[in-house]
Amino acid sequence: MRNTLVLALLFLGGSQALHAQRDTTMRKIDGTVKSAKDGTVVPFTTVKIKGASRGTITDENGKFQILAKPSDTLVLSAVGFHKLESACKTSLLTLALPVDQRTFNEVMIIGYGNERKRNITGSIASIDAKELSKSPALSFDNAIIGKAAGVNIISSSGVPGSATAITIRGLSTLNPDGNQPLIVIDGIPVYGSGKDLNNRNFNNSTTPSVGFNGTSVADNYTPPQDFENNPLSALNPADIESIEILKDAYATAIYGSRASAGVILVTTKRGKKGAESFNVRMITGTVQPIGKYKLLNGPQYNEVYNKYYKELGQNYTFSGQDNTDWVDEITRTAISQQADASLSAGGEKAQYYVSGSYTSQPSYVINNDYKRYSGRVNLNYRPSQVFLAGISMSMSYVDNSSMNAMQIYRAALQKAPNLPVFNADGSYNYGRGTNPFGSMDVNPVADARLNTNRLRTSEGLGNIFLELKPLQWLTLRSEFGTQLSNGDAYTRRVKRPSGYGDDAVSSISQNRKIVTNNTISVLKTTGDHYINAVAGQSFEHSTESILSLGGYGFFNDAIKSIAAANNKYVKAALTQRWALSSFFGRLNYEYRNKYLAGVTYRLDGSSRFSRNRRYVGFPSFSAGWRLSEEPFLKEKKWLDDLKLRGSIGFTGNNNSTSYYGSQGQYQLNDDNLSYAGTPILEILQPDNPNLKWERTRSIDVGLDATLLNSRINITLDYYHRRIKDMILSSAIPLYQGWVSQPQNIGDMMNAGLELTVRAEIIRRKDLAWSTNFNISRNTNKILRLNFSGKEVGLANDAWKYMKAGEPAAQFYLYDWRGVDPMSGNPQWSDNKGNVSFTPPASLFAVVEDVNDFRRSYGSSLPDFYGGMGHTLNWRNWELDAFFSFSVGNKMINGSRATLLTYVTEDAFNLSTEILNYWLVPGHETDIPKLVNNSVTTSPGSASGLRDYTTSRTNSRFLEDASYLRLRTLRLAYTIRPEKLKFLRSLQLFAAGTNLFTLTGYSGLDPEVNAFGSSALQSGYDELTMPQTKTYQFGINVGL
Amino acid sequence: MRKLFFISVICFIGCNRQLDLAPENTLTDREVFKTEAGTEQALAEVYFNLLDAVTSNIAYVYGDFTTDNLRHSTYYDIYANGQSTPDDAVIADLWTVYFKSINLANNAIANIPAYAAYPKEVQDPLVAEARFIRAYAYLDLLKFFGDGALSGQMEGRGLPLQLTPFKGYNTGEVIARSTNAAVYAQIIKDLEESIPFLKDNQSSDLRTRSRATKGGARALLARTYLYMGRMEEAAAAAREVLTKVPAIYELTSSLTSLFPANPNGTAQTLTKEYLLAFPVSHMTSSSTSMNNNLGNGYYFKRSFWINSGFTQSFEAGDKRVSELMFKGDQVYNPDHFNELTTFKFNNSNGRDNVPVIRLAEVMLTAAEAIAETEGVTQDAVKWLNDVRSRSLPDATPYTVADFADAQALVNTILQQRRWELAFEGHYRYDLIRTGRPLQTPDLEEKRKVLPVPQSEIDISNGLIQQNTGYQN
Repeated sequence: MRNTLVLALLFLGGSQALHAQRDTTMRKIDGTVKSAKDGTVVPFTTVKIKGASRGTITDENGKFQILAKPSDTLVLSAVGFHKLESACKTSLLTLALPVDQRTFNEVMIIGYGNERKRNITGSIASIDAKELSKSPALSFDNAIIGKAAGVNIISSSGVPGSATAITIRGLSTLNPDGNQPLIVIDGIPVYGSGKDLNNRNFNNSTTPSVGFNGTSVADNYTPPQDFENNPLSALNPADIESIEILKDAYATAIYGSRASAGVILVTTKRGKKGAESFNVRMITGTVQPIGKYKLLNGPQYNEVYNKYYKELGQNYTFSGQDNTDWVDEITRTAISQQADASLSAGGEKAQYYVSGSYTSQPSYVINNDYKRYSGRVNLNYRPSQVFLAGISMSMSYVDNSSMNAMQIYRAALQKAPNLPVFNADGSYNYGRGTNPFGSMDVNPVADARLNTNRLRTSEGLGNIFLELKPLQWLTLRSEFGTQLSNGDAYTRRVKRPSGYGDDAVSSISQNRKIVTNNTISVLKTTGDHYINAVAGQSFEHSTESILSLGGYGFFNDAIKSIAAANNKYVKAALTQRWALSSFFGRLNYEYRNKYLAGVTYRLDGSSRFSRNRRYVGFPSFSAGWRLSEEPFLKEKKWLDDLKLRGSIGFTGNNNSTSYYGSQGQYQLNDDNLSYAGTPILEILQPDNPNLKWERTRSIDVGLDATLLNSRINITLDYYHRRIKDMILSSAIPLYQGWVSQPQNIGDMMNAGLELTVRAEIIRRKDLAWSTNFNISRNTNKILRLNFSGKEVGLANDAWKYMKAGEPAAQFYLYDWRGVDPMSGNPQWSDNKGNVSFTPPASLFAVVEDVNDFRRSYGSSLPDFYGGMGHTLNWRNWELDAFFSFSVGNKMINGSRATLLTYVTEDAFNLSTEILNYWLVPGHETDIPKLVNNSVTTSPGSASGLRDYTTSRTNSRFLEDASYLRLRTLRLAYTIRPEKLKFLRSLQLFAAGTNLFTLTGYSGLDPEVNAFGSSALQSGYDELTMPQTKTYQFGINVGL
Repeated sequence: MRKLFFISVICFIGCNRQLDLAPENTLTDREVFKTEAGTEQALAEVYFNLLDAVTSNIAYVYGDFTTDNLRHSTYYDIYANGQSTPDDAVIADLWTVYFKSINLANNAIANIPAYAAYPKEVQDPLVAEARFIRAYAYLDLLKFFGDGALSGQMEGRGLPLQLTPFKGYNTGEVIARSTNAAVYAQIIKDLEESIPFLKDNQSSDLRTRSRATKGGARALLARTYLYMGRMEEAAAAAREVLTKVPAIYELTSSLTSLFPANPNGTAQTLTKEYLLAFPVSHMTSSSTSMNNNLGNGYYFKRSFWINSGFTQSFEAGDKRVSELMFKGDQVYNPDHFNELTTFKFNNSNGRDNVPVIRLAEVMLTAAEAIAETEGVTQDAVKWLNDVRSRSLPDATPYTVADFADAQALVNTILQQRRWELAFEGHYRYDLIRTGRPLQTPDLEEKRKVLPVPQSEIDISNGLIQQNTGYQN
């Protein structure tokens, strides 16, 4: 076939030379197709010779070559444009295609290439720059919450630069850290989110709490000592041209072993030929928390604790006379600022896009700031038809001094309000004053002002590519990319009166990777056949190193260098590497504009896979049928386009595995200990050779429809994903020498429906109203587990429950039955209908399995979620409102639990809700009497008093956290260009975020996640800093 | 096209090499066990873990605090009263940490022959050391968990016999508990098969005293037979050890050399009396010092203090009272200022060496086993006298005539054994094997073992059975 083609071309070339003089001969015509509207080039235009079956398509620069007689007429057609017929009298043609307003002119970016949107047979959600520009979020993941069907994003907290949990089409593994999609920026897979890579350890300001006479809260939450950074915040969203979210197997399988949680492709802006612009945007605004807890004031605090200890029969008096609102002391209305400038231009041979930005988005906790500086240069250079080179370079520097904001916020909520901020002598008051209990060593205001917790991240991302086009339909492309990500974290606690503090930790981390991609692409139309194919090879190598030093005992608080500490130690020094070598291919085929089919395959070889299972292949197949091209629908005026599509394929997940696979590993004893003079070589992990790799099979059936002159766009998808052999470290028989080991513990499935509708409800000259709406439903079910599941080790952090036949991420709780109005004791149900005053959890030493008293209470992941946006244009005004919603997600209100915990020796401040404690028989309340039967010892157990009323495994704190949130509201006024003398455009706007939230959740914010980027562990609000409410004013200037 | 294919193939091979990334900070099985030095270091980990197991939580002290040697804080009540439950975390830890040592020993036993690139005559002693450790761990586990293992119930429920290293777990692949007899048989097999390859002396005196040797293995064999009630074999094994006196082993005349005062936690010599001890006092590095987990509990007398009745039971002038008992802490715990504690672990930070097998034990084992099998003999009385005279130099040595019958001699030997080995974790098991009451006198026989962790029963769907005393 190939040989015949070459021969034919040779023959045609030959005949051209032979018959050059005569008008009826074929000759080569070089053409460029541009848009009549803005002069940008139009790729994928079908160019045919009228009356013949020959034709070609333009490349992505709008160029084509065709052999034609001067008498021939060229017929050009492209999606989004009207048909154009043109004579071809000269051999160099520049053709301007008139824009067809009816259809979207869209070429979509897909893995290792692009494709006409109408030919897409996978499921891909696309978000463009305009949509992104409406959100003031620091990172694009926060900006796209609710904007794409099937993509559930939970932002973890109101700390700037904190992580988000992104799940695409449901959980893809039971590993809490393995549900993050692969992020690809301009063809380079980058370091994504996840605790492993992004947790930054620091010294938080509070000392760990101690139990009072052994009193502790059962199943309590322990705040972490680390901050999970959001790696995506290094990328300025204003530089993004489009985001494509690959969801089904046909779209993702070309990314193979890393694609089971989905893939997000980010494409940055590039200069366009003939479209020059210089844009400046300035925004300033205010940042506030969306809510505030109601806490006890000083006198109320005294009253409650005095009452408690009196009832307990102990002679302690709380009598502090101050009345401090600690939260007010550490919060502020912060001012955010943002300035972007970008220059985009292009001539015949070179096009460029240059941008720079500065963003300051302080947190609402005092002295906890966040600043980002970023710059980007994207260049294309095309010296001739066959050659194209380009680079993309970006640098960013983030100075985040709010790593500890969450701990300060927490400490302020918990600090006794009857104590002053300052002592009489003006020094900070750390102690507990005259209070008999309480921490001796916390002052949130001092912590915020004096301590240093700073993460400075500098990141460089660059790639260069070279493209050769030896033939019109053939493109060879080589791409080399690198990412350098340096984290410089410094944390320092000043010396406190207690003697604690006076220590520092400095950590330098460096992640660097190189990526090379080499591809051969074919784009060809012959007769009724259209082929868009790519084959390629990719190699990726990553080195991740960390060096962390600690020191304590400084001469004074001003000296920061650890070298000056009296005692120094190395906390960590480690370099780890991995590499991935891959081969891939894709063939998209279209027949008669109607029938579509595709196949992809990727072979991944990973250094993380054990040698005998190193290479794994991931195939996928798809088919599509454009019904609107069939005669029975073609003439329907109301129907512009209708396509049915389906796909099946396989992807993998290598997040669950350690750096060096499953081989037995040894490491010298951390402490350099030796046994009788022989250094001790410790076993890190045993050889685990029969571990298999997780594999996801995805099936997708979808429909794309465009109706009524393109005024309505509908996309509907059904999917089914089955994940086989999920890896999780889980219990093994103890006699085998280990408590738990990674195992292929089971299978899981997700099935769901996604609907996206975009509609232009009103489309008039001066008035337009467009709306978009998406809703997704996902059902998750564990199909098989190799143990009869209750809790398993890893999920224990978040007390989630796993059982075959039920969804993952379920809460599994003891049944709290309120407070008995007669006695004031909490009542519990044992699941057999018996109500008792004895907390079932306390019976662990008495009954065979205390978990029998628990039952599942639903999942922290929503049943439905989505978003809805409205844009209203009237003359020069544009009003834009975007709502996101989530229905059926449950949350443990751990904040409420913490603010109702009074039994420990910490004597923390409490919610005013505590004042409703039970007083007299007949008193109906949901706060038990202060000393009650659920603050108790466990029969048969040696440990001390435990408080079961505030445990996290208790249905008392489970709430429905469904919400509808007005995420952004934006009003813009654009001044008419004709009125501007020196400017190209000018727009003024005012915007607000998180202005209101409709929810039944009693905490401050239904949209927080104490466990950062982990979707599996989501559903805990643990005094997590609520999201921010912002008001902004800004100006866009175009020159 | 063909050229393209070749390019891919070349890259395929080249890239495959690129994928072999050696960890910077870790070594793999193959690398570790390839060399003698690596194997030695892996073996050091096995000893280290055995130390961890033997001194973890209640493991070492269980032999004393459940008897009238010691008084203890209420925390330990449930263990002394036989009230502990199958889901007790301490017991699960105890079970796990010993099996961890067994797994590590199995790892060495399997990997040395598989990967070693050094002579077999160097490999064999190393494998033998690992087998010794496995035997030691199984014997300790039998003492804790073997249902009736110390009272001759050889068909009672023993332990799962796991003799290969962990190589991945396939659900349901669980082995049941073998009988006590089978576990004893395995211990004996491991010891007897390793004795020919073990050395009399290791490369340094410290190693001779802290790693497996011929003498140590024979002594452990003697202890095993003693626990089984097979006195003839016990006597034979103990006598083998005693032939090495004084060439390799010797009673240390001064008790304070045997158990030196160690206020600063510095390295203390292991005298010739030790057949096996954990050299904790030598284990220190720039960042940490090893802690034997015993010093704190004894020194501050918060967990344990000596039962005054026990102190009074000694013959007058016994140096084991005057030199090896003291008041310990006089600052922090006023509740027990006047109580006595053991000087054997006198460093409050747990920096003392931990005795595992001492010559005195072997002598008393020999004496007891001989008395049981041969009656009142000169030999038995001699070993008894040797031990007694060190602590009571002025006392008149016993003679054969002092004992009316073998039982009288045995009783005296057992009394001496209690005094000599007090606080070294022996007395409980001596009481059980001789049918005498523990601290809680009316404790049911079947509650004299600990319950098997519930998780083992759950994960095996009942294939691993609970001890009879704990079945509902």
